[in-house]
Amino acid sequence: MLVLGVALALSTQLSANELTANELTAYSQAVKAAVEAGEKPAPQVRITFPYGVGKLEESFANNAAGMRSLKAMVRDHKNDMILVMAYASPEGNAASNLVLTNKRAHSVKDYLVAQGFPVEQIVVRTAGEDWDGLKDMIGNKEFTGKAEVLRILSDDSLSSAQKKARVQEVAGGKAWDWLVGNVMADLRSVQVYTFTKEDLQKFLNGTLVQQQPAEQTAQPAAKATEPEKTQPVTPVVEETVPETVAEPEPVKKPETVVQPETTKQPETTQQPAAPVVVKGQKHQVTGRVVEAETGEPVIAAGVLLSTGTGTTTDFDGYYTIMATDTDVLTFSSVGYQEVTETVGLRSVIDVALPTDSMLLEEVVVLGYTTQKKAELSSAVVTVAADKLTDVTTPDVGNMLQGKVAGVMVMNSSGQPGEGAAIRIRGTGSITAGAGPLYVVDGVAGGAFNPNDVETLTVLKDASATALYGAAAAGGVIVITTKSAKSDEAQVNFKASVGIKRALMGHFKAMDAKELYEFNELFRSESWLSKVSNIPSKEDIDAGMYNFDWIGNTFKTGIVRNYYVSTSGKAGKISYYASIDHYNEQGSLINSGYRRTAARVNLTAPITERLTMNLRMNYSKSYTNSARWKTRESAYVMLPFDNPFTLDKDGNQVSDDPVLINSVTRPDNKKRWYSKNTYNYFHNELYNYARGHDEGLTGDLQLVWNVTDWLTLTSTNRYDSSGSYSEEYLDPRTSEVEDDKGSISKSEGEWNGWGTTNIAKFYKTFGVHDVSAIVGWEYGEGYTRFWGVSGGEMPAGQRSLSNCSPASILIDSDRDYNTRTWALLSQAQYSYLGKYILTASLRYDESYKFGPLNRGGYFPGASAAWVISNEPFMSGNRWFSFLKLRAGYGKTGNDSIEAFKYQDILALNAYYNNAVSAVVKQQANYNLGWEEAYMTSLGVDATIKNNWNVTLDIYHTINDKLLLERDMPPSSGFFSVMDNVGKVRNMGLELAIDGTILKKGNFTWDGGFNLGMNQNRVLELPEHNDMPLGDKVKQMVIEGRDIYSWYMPKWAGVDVNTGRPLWEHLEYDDEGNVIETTLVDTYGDATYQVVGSASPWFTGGVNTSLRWKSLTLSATGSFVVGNRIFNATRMNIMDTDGAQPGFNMQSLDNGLGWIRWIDGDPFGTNYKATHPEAMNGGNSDAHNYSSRYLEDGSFFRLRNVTLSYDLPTKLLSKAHIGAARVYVSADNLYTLTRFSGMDPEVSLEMSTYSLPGLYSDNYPVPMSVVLGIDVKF
Amino acid sequence: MNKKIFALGISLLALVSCEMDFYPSDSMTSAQIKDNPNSAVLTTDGIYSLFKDNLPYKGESGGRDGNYYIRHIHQLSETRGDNVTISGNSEDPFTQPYQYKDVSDTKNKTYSWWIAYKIIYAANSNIDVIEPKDALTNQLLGENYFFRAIAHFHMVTLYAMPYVCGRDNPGVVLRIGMDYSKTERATVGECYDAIVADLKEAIKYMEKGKNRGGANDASYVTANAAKALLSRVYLFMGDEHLQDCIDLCDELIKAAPATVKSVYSVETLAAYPTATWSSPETIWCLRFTYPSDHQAPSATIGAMYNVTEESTNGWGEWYWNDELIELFNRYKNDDGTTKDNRFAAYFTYPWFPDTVVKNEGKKMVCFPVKEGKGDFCVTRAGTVGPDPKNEADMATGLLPNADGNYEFYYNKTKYTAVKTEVNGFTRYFINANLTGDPTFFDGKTPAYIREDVDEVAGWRNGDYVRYYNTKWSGQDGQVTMTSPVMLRWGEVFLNRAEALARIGGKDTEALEDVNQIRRRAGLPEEAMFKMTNYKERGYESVLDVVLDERRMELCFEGQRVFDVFRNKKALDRRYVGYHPFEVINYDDPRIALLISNDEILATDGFEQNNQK
Repeated sequence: MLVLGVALALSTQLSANELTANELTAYSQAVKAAVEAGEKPAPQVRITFPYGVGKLEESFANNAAGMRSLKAMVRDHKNDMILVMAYASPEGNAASNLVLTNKRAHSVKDYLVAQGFPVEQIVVRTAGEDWDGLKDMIGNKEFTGKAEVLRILSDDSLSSAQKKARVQEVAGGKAWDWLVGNVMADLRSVQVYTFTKEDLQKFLNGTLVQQQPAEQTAQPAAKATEPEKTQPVTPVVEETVPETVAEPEPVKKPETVVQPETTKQPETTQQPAAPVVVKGQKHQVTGRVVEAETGEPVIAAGVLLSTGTGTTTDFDGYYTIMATDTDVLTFSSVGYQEVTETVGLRSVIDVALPTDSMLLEEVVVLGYTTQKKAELSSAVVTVAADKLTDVTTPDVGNMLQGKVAGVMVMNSSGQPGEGAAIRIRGTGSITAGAGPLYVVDGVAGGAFNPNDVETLTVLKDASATALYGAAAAGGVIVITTKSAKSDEAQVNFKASVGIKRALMGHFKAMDAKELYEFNELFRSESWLSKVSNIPSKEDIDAGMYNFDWIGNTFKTGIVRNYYVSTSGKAGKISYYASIDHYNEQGSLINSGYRRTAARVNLTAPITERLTMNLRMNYSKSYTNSARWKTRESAYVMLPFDNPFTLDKDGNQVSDDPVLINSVTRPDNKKRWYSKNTYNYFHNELYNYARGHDEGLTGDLQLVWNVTDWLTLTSTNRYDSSGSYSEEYLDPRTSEVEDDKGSISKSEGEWNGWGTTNIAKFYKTFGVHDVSAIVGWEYGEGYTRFWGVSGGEMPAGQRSLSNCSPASILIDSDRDYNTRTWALLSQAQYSYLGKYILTASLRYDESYKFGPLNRGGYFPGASAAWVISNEPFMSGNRWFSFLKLRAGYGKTGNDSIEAFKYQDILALNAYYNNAVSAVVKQQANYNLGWEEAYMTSLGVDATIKNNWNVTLDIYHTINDKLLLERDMPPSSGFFSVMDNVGKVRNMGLELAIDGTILKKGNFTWDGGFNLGMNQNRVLELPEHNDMPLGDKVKQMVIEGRDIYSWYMPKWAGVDVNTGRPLWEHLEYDDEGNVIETTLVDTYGDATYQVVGSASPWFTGGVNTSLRWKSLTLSATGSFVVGNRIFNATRMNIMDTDGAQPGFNMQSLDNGLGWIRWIDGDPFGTNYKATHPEAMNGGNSDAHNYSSRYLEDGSFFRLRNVTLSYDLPTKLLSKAHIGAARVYVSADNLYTLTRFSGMDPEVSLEMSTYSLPGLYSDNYPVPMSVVLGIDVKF
Repeated sequence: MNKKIFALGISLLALVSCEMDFYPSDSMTSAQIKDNPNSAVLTTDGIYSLFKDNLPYKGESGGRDGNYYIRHIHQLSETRGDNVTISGNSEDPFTQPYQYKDVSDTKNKTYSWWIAYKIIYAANSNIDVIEPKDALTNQLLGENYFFRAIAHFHMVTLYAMPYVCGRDNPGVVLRIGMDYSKTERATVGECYDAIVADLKEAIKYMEKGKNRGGANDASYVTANAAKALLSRVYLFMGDEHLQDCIDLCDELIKAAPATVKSVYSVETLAAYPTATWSSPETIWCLRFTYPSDHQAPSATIGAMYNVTEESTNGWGEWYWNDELIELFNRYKNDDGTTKDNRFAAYFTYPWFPDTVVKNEGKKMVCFPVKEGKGDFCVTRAGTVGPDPKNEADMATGLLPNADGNYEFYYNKTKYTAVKTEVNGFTRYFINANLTGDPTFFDGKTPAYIREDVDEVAGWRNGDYVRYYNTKWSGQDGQVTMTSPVMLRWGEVFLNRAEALARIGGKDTEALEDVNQIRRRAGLPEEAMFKMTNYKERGYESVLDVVLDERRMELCFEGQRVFDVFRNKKALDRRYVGYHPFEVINYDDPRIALLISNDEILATDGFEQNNQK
């Protein structure tokens, strides 16, 4: 210690001046002497830093001279080692000090390397707070409380934090203030030493170990903790002590290149004497947990016994725990890979945790910007590609289902290729679009294939989405496509094949017997036996006349997906290229989808500072749509009819469907019983609805790193897409009017280009990190579509030129241009990575609005506070990470039809074959943006080093809604598009994930997410209720949910009469209900709001179990509290005899449905759910009412996958990098009370549908898929 | 370099913050259309298309769903008379007006109210800009006055009480000129005055103009059309304008084509709906062209009346009321067929040939019974044997007893349809003393004996055949298509007949007009009315004769309900169907339809009709 003091004094003096060559030599000798004496030498060169600054600044203090000394050092010590030790003054927060010292050390190291010193001869050590330095420095100073301070600093039993706390108390804080003001500045330093290799080794093994326990690198955390995880951690070369100085024993396992490790057992630790260890008995185990790469202590790392109990490390990384020799200790911390150690007879176990680079530096792509996950200040959720693509579907929306809290995905159709509807944080807009905006590779819009997705990020919060202004009111989904991950060439091949079958849920159509019995309830015997539309009872009892229409219409479909990609680097160019082919044959006959997509992503450095990214995506898809008439008919055809060729006795003789166009069958001249006198199986032989889409997207992006604080990015995209569809009805079929045949064709085209140009600034001023972007976007587009139809063609001809000229009709022909432009800006400020402020402002212009209101300003702001970085949180055992977020933002919506502000005369009308002009729309030049204001609060936390919890609450007001405001129709206009109305969404989102259990090779992970949303309509034009829908109605009412069902309320069946009952309400003058009575006449029932199509909450669960190379994972999603209107039941299938020409839905569906029967033969009338059956229906019981409104809640096991990673050894012989085989099942199980096939119903409002309306849906299928994923 | 980039950026920004006005290629703004030399033709023809086109409505895309003006106007007029009957609730909202159980928000009313005022708006804009400088512009200006009149007329006849109930009753919103600042109901009198004034303007301008359709095309409005409409309007206005009406009709008939007086064979009449625009009978029809105007074959007016096997298009939901059938059947040939060519031409059998089992010589009693809360009638057919399920066993049929009465079972109870002579014709009523019987209405319940009963095994019609009419069928070979006749010569004769009968002292002339029409229909001389025989035939007045003739001649043309009420008569709706069993007086407040809530709610203080 004495020598040290002298050396320090010397160094203080020396550091002020440039060292001469001689002095350097002399100094080396002094160091050598110190080392020989087993003491720490004084530093050779000392570089100082301003408070909180990690960057080497030449202008600061004497650094200019110091840096000249470093230059000399490089020149004269080419064959020696350089040790760079960084210190921080103890005044700051310990955790940030660690970060800071690390930065300081590296800034000096980088300087040395820049001067030409071999990187492998530099050893970097960070020491954190330099208490010893402080003690030495104040030796000859006088200040209040000095004695007490010295006493505290000399007490080695105190931890760093304890020392600080104590010193801060001395003399009421005066001592600390003095220290800060007078000496601490000098402690913010990096000390640089030169050693010979041998000396350095001695130094590191000896003196330093004693003096600076922080430099102790750790005990063998030798085992690669998760060998199957192909996440090699490349050793940080420059920080590894060269082999020559490494302790030779025990010998390292060659495979374990995964982490740098020193195998040295420290000879001495702070433990006074090793306790006696007895097998089977608990003994004290102590040790230190450090970061493998830097040797920095890992604070608050979890140290868990296999029993589940445990402790955490202290501020300096030390821990103490009681354990037996057979116990296994698991060391873990956020951002690090886990390490396990069997205790054995050791009483000291030091561990080095390799960093998990994925987590620690996880960068989230936010579209225009990227941000470290830890520093996010708004509600952003990232879904990794492998989590996304478990489900087999070509639509990324479907994949998202149940995976992100607050993101509701409804996949309402089993039609292959059909996309799902997505609602982020509820529905704010009533009639304008409410879906999210996709931002692909940094530009709004664009196409991508799910297999090419690298990451998907959902921006839920307006503080983040405000930057996207236009159309971002429904949230933003940011897609980043894949690029080369490493220079090495890699080929990835995936293939999967599976089968799918439509889900039937509780739905069952009546079979012949049940239908006959149903008819017996309300038909006289004479009718049934003589004039009926029903085969005889004997025939039915004999099993004849019982055709399963649904079973024959929904068949097993096949799904196939092949994907091959290659990535790597060729010369200077990094590339990623893929081809993907998806082919799905639907579960409903003649429906299908196939798509081929190709992508090329190239990155080429043009100059040192200029990089080019080129991305091209092309896809073409073909769709065969399930035809509406076929789907609907499958439900309603009577089982008495058979669509295939029959003989005289009614036996099926072939699979040829017969043409039906009257009530007599052509094959055996017997009756066709169903009311619909056509056979869709015959129609399906010839008729079809099909189309194709293609799209090409090309991006050219230039990234110019102008200076180290300024980057200019220009992203330019050309986008071209086209779609074509065709519906053909053959004259040979009975479907078409007058059997004349018809064909309609329509084609659409969109092309446009856009440019997004962004300047990014980033600069650090001391502890202040500032970054900002400014940008502008501009785009032009052209849209064209037309449709023509014709008919009366010869059978089988599909050309319009073969149609009768008189039948040719132009359905539409329209084109128009569009243009968009926007200015955007964002600034972010971060203080020590602890306080983060973000603010953005965007200006958008939309051609859809009147000339004066085209501009929209969309500001956003958010703040985050990383509480876990605060001193008062250090040492807490609960939160290893805790962040509080708050944000506010405004977004805009212009998702309406174009030209709504103009007065329009439509010229597509005609009279007497002459074109005419019809007044279509009145002008509203004041039309402007629909606005959404969102306020949100969130917490991100990591609890007990394991559970990642995110909790968000939000409040959104959608104002100036784009609504068709009603005009008095006597003005000649029903409505005019205007900015009126207000809707509020409030909600809560919770997401939790973590490891539930980990034992040896077994890991069980789980996650859960939940989103609750409450929707309220706050204001409507003139406060008038707004009906949506025609017969089936929703009423938009102030103070209610936007999707409120409006209908007479069903009150069940009158036990005594079997008649239907509804509620009748009496209101007082103020509209309050004063009396509720039950009535059995439909006309007396009162229309009222009966529930809503919006769910109370939605969410998902996921879990994965991993044992060695086997993984079993499952995802589930749920929706609770929504109400579905089952129009299929009302229209036909559950109408008590009102629709006797159609089949009925079976009451035997497990939902407790019971029909009231005259005379009560089964004694069940008291619990009857269905009124008495009557010919023509029972007193309007089948009229529109909440009888058909059902609970839409469900839980669905969305996916289960069992996968096996083939052994690497085996694969390496075949030169295969990795291979995985799996079997995956989608929609295996659904828990619901819904009586239709599938409770997943549309959220979209359309001409024919309301959100939550179920009508003859094409249910989603269950599927089982076998797949393989190989990487070369 | 940086500077250049910056400069480039600024100049690009300047470039882009420019023109953002875009227009779709298939429409024009009003400013753009004014540059068009024939803009007045385009915008006037646009009004014609408003009568027939399906416009996008409340989120529905429009185009092919049968939501069009003239269909709704027809529905709201014809179903409220006593010519058609229906057999049950329909998804089509004609059920409510048919039953006089109006609700304010049915689509047929909200849509047609809106379109009427769109027609008026378009006419107002055109009247505002068209300078009558030549034959064409005079004609166009006249047409626009006509449209403004007819749309107001449609509205005031549907949404206000009959003129004869008082000029000061609330009428409808009157939009004359481009001032749209106020929305309020004018009085009935003001509305009619405005309609008369507009029609006079229309006549004035179109007499200077030239018929746009030419000699053989009645697709366009002419001065004659305006006169014919005015003659009808006069009939609505009490007795104030009867002489005006007679003068106008005289003037018209003097210039009428000779063929409008010739005898019409069954074939001629049957062919009439197939090409109304080219028939000399037509003064103005709304031309529907095939196939463009027939995109929704199941949603036309014809689809309500008819359906055939070849084309399952159509619904066939409106049937002939038995009463009307009897009216036509008073003069029969020996083979039992009717002598009236109008009936023979338009009365048709349902299409189900292989589902109908003929029961030659078998008979069945059809009669209305109570349903629901007791004021509803539904059609039931009586059976001959007790059947617990109330089903008609039609195969057996009924035979009259010795008194000519029919005994039958219904609800296990035996009833008798008693033969009664009324106005010289045989009628049947369910046996008396029914008070308290829950099945039947108090008072006389008419019964109709169906002969040669055909049983239907199909699902569509229930259990016995109901009869269709083809007055709206056949154009371009389409079962459900015709070009709706808006004004025709037959009506002009009968307008004069009505005015003559009402004005007093002109009964002979009135009967001559009636006979003119009856002769055209092929009826023999013994069926003609004379001053000496109409009372024998059960009529109390010549006006009643005229009204029955109007009922037959103009049946299913939307006129009947107005004929009855404007003459302060009551509408007897005690016949089989699916409606309340009642008599509706001409001052029944339900006659004025409830105005759409869209209109009521959009304007503070807007007066709704009180139907109670």
